[in-house]
Amino acid sequence: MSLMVENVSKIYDKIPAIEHVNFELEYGIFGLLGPNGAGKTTLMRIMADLLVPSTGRVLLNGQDISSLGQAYRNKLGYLPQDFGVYPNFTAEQLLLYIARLKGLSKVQARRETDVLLELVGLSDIKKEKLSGFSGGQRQRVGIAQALLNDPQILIMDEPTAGLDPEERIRFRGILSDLSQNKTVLLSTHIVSDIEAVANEVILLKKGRVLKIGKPAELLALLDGKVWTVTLSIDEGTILAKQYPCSNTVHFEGKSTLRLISEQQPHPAAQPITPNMEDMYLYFFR
Amino acid sequence: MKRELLRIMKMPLYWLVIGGGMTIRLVFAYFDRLYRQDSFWNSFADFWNKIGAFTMAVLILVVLIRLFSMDREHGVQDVISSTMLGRRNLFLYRLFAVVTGACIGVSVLAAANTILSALFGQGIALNNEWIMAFLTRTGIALCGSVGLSVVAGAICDISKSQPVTLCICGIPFIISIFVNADVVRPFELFWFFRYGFFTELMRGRLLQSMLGFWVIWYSTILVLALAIAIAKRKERKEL
Repeated sequence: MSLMVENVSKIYDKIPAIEHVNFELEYGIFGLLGPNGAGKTTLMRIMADLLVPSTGRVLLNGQDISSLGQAYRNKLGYLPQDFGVYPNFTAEQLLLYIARLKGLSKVQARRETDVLLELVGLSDIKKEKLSGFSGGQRQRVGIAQALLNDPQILIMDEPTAGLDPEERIRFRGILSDLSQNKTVLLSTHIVSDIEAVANEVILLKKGRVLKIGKPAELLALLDGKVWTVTLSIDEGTILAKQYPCSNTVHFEGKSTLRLISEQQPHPAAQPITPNMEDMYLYFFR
Repeated sequence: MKRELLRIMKMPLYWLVIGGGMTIRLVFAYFDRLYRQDSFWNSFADFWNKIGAFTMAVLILVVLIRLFSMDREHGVQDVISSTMLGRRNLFLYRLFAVVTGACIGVSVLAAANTILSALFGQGIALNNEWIMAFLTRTGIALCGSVGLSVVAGAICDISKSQPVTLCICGIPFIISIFVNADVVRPFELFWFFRYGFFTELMRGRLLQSMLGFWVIWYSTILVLALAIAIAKRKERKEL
């Protein structure tokens, strides 16, 4: 299966949200990374066939998703950035309702709902009204609904927002299990989520694709550019203003900084192995 | 469609509005029984003129059409639109559910009016003409209610806002009630308000003069509202 984004642009009132975006997704988990306003949500909505691009198109196995219509949506699971719920529905009722809209039979809908509520750890409160759910619990309902029709294409816009660490770990496990025969595109601000599960990362900046690559390939670009140095707090403060700093630890009157720099930022600085947060700062600061 | 209809039927407000309308009718029937026995059955037959029409307008504009705005209201729109049947099919299901909900409302109100009147009117002479008049007016009110529910449903789908639709459709309804039929002339603005926005039909009155014109007028309103709703849905990628 191939999901191809072909020269897609979206312009709102003469301001481009995304410009000439091109990439192709096959099986696996793809992370969409970019700062606020980079156009991630716009791109995901276009890929979910919820927004008409100003130019370009999205192709599934060579066919335009707009013309595929129901056939495309039958393969799609989508979790929007701000997942809302009907407050007077229970978690179970909402999932059953969406399952039926996804074309599942009554029996399938019931079975899938039970399995997914168990998977996201909500089966014990499935009969409670959604109005009483916390943000994290609602988000888990959102994740469950996206998985309802066993979709081949899963588009999730900030799925881990509002989840506590345990829930995030559970979610990453679910995604990894699913990724064998699916195309999963997820955006998140939590870089460690992408680091943990994504097979490939798409970096989006100001509406344009900056880089696409495997996490290891992107991290390799930072080899020799990430440094650690321990200095007095005053010296550390000055240095942190001069270079992108991905971490600062103050301990016993000293500051240990993690800096990103093409050259050695300080004679005492030692090169260290880069991580995804370093990469984020390197590309987006 | 069944699911959407069940959602309507499970709305407490649906039954509250019907209950409210019938409570007013109960009070009137009680006082008619005490003080106006001569016009008791006349009030029964004239139920749709005020209480019935007003109850149905509230039922349609406050309760039923919310089916079209609640997705946007609760931020569920994108999820619904990303499902296989969440676009054209759901729009049709909801339209049918709203129309069916209106038909059920008219039927329940008619039945309740009959039961209330029968309970209170025991011993008061009943004329067959009143029964026929009530049945005829119920049929006309049903047509008016169906028409309003389709147009209001379409407007609500376009605007995705129930309060906006309430204003757009409620204002002509209110104006129609207060416009004196004797002072308006054909093709004046208030003549359109009086007869042109389903109110007259919902009050159980047939538009006897210029019937051909009104058939074309109402057909145009219905087709136009649906056509704009469909065009808007296409634009929003909801069809």
